[in-house]
Amino acid sequence: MIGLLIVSHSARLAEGVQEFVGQIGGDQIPVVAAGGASDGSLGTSVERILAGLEQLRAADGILALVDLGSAVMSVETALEHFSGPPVQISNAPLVEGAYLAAVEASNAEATLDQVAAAALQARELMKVYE
Amino acid sequence: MTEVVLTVNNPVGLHARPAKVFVETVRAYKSTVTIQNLSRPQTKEVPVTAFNLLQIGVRQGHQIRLRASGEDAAEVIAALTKLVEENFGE
Repeated sequence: MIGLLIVSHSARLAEGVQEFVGQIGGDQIPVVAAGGASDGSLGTSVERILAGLEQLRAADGILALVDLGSAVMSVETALEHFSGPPVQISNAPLVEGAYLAAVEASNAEATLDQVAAAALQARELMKVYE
Repeated sequence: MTEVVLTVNNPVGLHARPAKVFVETVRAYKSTVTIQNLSRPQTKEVPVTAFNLLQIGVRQGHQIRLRASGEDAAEVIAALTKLVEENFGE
């Protein structure tokens, strides 16, 4: 079972994405929000990300989705202190990627690579039809 | 090969949660299932995946054509028909 880690500079944004995935039926898979700086202000926190990774320790693999590239460094720093299931940081857009990843991961046999590939498709998603 | 044409009536159409339920239903069967949004002529017949469902943009009132081929083709079409006719339990 693959877990999702939602990382954002805003705690509420991360929790919002977690709520969104949960509402569309993502409750079968673990989705952890790790947003905001350690004092809750705008920013990212290695401690919050590490705590999020720890919550997902039982997963077979973890896909980390971020809002902006600047959050990647915090995730990478946290990973240096984390020895658990394999983790991939996704290049997918945060919301759409989390959605597609959640649908893929709801298949318990899905691998981390499959979930990661599904999330990445979000980069081509069209929302408005000309 | 089994085929059916259905009208989608639930408010969200084949998006978000309904799309996920649709994909999970197909996943439970062996047959391969394709879908085409007859109400958007510019979209093609595509395999049922979450990404494809979002791309063909099935809205409330749109007509979809489902085709299944495989040993349980009739069963998966029946299951999907029930899902759509019951508005995905919404």
